[in-house]
Amino acid sequence: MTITLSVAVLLAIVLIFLLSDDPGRTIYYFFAGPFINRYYLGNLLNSAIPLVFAGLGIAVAFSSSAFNLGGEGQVYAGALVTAAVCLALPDTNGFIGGIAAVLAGVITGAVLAGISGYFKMKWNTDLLISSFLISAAVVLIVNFLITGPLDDPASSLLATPKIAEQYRLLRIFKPSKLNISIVFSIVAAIAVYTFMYHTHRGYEMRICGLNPDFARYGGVNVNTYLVLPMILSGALHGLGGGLAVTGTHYMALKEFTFGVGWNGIAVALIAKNHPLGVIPAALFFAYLDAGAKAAMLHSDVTFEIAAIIQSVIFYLVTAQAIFSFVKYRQRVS
Amino acid sequence: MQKSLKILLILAAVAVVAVAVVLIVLGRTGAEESPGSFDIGVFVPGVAAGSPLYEQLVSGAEKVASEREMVTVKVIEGGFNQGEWEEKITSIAATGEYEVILSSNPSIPFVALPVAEAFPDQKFIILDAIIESHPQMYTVLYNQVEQAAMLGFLAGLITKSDMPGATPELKLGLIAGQEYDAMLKMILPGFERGAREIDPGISVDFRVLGNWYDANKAADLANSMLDAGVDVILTICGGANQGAITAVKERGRYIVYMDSEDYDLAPGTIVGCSELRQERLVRETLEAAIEGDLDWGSNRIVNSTDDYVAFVDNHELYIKSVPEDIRDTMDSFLKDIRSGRRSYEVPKYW
Amino acid sequence: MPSVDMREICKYYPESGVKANDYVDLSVKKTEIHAIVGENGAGKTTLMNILYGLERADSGRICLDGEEVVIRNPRDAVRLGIGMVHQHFKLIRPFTIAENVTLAMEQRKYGVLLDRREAWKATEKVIADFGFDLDPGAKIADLTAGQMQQVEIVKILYRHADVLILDEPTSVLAEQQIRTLFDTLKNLTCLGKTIIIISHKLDEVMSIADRVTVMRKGKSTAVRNTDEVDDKELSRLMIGKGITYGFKRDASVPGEPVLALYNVSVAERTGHRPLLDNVSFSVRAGEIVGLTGVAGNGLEELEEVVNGLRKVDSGRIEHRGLDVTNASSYFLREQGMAYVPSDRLRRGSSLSSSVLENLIITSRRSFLNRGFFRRKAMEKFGREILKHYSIDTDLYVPMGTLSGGSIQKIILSRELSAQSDFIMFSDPTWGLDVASAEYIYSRILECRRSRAAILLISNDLDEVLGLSDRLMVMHRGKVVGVFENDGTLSKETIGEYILGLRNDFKGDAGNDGQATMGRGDGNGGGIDDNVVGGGSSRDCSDLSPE
Repeated sequence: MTITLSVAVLLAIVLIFLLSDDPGRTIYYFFAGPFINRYYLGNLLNSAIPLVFAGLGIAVAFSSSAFNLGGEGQVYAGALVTAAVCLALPDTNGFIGGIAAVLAGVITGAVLAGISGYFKMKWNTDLLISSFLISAAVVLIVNFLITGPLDDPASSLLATPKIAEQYRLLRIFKPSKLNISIVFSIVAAIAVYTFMYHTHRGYEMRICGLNPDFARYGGVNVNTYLVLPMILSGALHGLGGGLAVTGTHYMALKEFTFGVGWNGIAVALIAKNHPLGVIPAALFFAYLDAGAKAAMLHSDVTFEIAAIIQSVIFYLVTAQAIFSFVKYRQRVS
Repeated sequence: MQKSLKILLILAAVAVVAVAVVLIVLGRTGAEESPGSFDIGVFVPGVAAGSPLYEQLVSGAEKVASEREMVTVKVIEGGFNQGEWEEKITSIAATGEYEVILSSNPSIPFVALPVAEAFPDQKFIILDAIIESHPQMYTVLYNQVEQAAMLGFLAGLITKSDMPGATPELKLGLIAGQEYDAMLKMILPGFERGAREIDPGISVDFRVLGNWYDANKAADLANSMLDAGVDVILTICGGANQGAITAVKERGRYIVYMDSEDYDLAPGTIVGCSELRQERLVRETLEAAIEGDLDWGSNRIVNSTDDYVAFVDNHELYIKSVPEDIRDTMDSFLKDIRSGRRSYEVPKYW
Repeated sequence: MPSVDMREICKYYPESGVKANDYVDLSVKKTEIHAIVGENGAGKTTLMNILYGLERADSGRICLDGEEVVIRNPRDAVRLGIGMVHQHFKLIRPFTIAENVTLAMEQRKYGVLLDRREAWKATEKVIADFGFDLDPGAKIADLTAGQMQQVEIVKILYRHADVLILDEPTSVLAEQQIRTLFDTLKNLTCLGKTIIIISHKLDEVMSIADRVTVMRKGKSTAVRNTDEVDDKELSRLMIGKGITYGFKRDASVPGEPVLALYNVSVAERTGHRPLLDNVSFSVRAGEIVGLTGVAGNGLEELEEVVNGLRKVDSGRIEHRGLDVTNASSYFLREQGMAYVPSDRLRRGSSLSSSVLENLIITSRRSFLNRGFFRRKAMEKFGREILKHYSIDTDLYVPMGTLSGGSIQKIILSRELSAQSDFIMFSDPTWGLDVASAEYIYSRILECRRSRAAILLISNDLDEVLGLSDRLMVMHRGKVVGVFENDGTLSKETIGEYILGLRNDFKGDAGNDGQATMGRGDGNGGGIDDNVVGGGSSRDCSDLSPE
């Protein structure tokens, strides 16, 4: 991993030298940019939040061998439903309404992923495929809802109207968008960790994932754990989506969570599916993103070039993580 | 697990070392802005390439920079995730380097409002958009009622004519990518009013695609309109336009086109194009801002009389595909508008 | 001049510590049918995998027609004219016969395009040349098992093989299909092909093979012409002399039945032969009941049925009088039934989990405090087990990093620590070194002393004979012999039952046996009527062929 990272960073630097007329400046902003002011730092932390939730969702699923590839749809649908509930209750108490709205998002994610788990239990369908297909369809449905029935013409954006003031989470690092949901994300990571490693349900769930034969032999009802990890995974994704609405965007925009689901997989892989490892892994991804943005803003790097440099690092690191994950699974079986 | 934590620590170390090495080698520190210069940050909501309005936004600003000393332009493309636009505009504002942030899109005032609140010194020039009164913003709206009315008038003439593709029914079509205020309050009513100047019995079939890319669905919508006897369609749905144009071309009927001069896309099928002269507007507005002549907090509506909104009537394909009598009628109508004898007011919808 | 000559072949599997081939010699003459017989794990398949290039020998030489060859992979083998039909067919079901036969050796048109017509013609030619009755255009999915096997043979012949290896070719075939196969094989030798078949069905070997090589525990122990040997002698050669272990069973008076099975049957999914056929027996407190047989005769299924991992189609299972038929594994464990599985790496443990996580699988709920694990109590439990059973490892080491012996010790300690009244051991010493095996035997006997009822399922006859108070043999899903192990029981006798040379329980005998057993009346006492005393087998009926 150390080698991969060094290679990735070196390659990024080489690319910058090739693509930028002012490489020194670009490199400075690419790597140090995220830390030069409060605003960038806050946004870096804030953009890590949905990744933490998605990463946790994937870690829960993967460590139980439930392969949830539907993160995109679960985050997106969770966000939309949260926004929709907020909009439907414009005058409710912020605390109660907010919890109801986020909970609705959580349930949405849980149901979407749970369907795949249920199909798996019922007909032994492939989780990878069913979760991916369901998510792909859900993205289109949410797109339709955001651009159609829930669209706010006044904003001229492909987006719902903004949610009422009382639902918006407290910003804690102005002017950045960092808000108290970062606390929730840390709490969630600790809770997921506690559940997986300190409760018997978590233990049974992991054992079912690592070796279903052994679990069945030990008297664990393996079927329950086909659905439970998917439900938890979907719920965490939905939570990430819901908090993106109430914490960051205050509305659901078309495809605004684009990529969070996939990046969540990479985050979980880098974290080796460990819930607490997800936090630094998510920060790493957010850092890459923030670096690319800073370089774009302060140097001559365009949107595309920033994306290329970012993806070089991303692919190398993810490929390494996938490689070691596959090797690990081979060793187990 | 301990391992991955270690790895991430190593990563941080590597990153820091890399930065340090580079800084030492190149002996540089961060950004240095020359004092007294006028720096313009251009925010493109999307990407510039392929979008005429955004291309003009960028070229206009770059021309100003090339013509004047001490004026710099930095173009930042926002990409297609609208959820990131606010953050990116905020980032531009947060640098404190740019005297003005220039952008163009009806949604930008809405997106920029929270940014303006967080950075009270930041000024915004936003074209193709309007906001009532905000001390940090200057908005310019194109009179799209007028723009649409010109196309509606031409479409009305054609549907009543005996051109080969014209049907007996007095029906026109409008396909929109989505419903937004400018569409509902300016373009659709303008198109209808223009057409009804010809015959009050003309109706406009208005359909919404729901996105800006699904060419197949646009073709389906166009076909169902054509089946109902529609003979001229105004299509405003971005990348999906091509679907509608192809469908209409196959049936030998007509398209009128907004925002850019694109007769070449389908000679004979596209019979009228209107145009927004965004580059000129950008240059003039920026010049005024640099000179300190801009009245911040105000807004402006530009139209045909100032030649910011125009119908392209000098293109050879227009002359070739539209019969002379129609062009003559159109000509006098356009003259009336340009001279202000005939005007279409923008209703106050904001 | 032998066609295939393998000399001093050695193959060692360091992961499991098994010497699969230990200086094995094999000599096969041209155009003969040569059988390799031996018990499970005798090393037959390993030897053939080496010949076919699927595995590489650690040492030894292979000569083909007198010339030494190196076979690195199946491609080499095919080039040298060696083909293999595996026990499980390697065919692509939605493809036609012609497509399967020519797969990977396709005729090409213009270098890239598949020439279907040519493939068809070539396949048709092989089918005609060797006298098969197959339609090249038929889809594999529509064929019978016998036809699929013919396709496999055609596939090899298409690749110009002169030496054909068939691994357990009759295991998937019905009676009629077996005859067709044998005709085919004889016909092929007339056409100049040499055939090696792996089998443990002695009657079939006697009827088809010219010569037999016997393997036992990784060694080739004898070569015989089939017309100079009878199946009794072969079975003795396969099974060998008994080993005396350094332990002694004390006298034990069995108590009440703890586990009882009544007419338990499990149907096969394809349905022509039941996997378990009216199995009835009981295991009493303080006794060890040994159950043996050749793989594929119902031992695996019985193991799963008793642990609740497999549902029965009919019959009844009782634990201390309580009906536990088709109860879940969890329920059975709650009832106090422990189980050391034969597949210790997959079923018995989770290799990527820690030792502690492996130790608590059965007792996990006892560490709960409001849904959370009491980690201290868990660690205390784990450390005590490790200490008590003198296992030298740490609680947080991943299970997969330990040796096979340690893994088995941990599994054993976990199962024994539950203080169950019934324990099932399945192949408890398979692949272990002698010291580990002795350790495990002493633990099993300790359980017997503490009055647990023990069911010992094992392929190792020495083990079963050494430990059991009573011994049962399964063949084709049936219990074909029940013996009181009073020290006079001989390995040869049991071997004959195991290999199906004696099938005294067939037909009416089986029914008689059932008739004497109570049908789920709760005490299981009737089962003892089946037990045959006196070492040699006295049968339930007088239908014995002798």
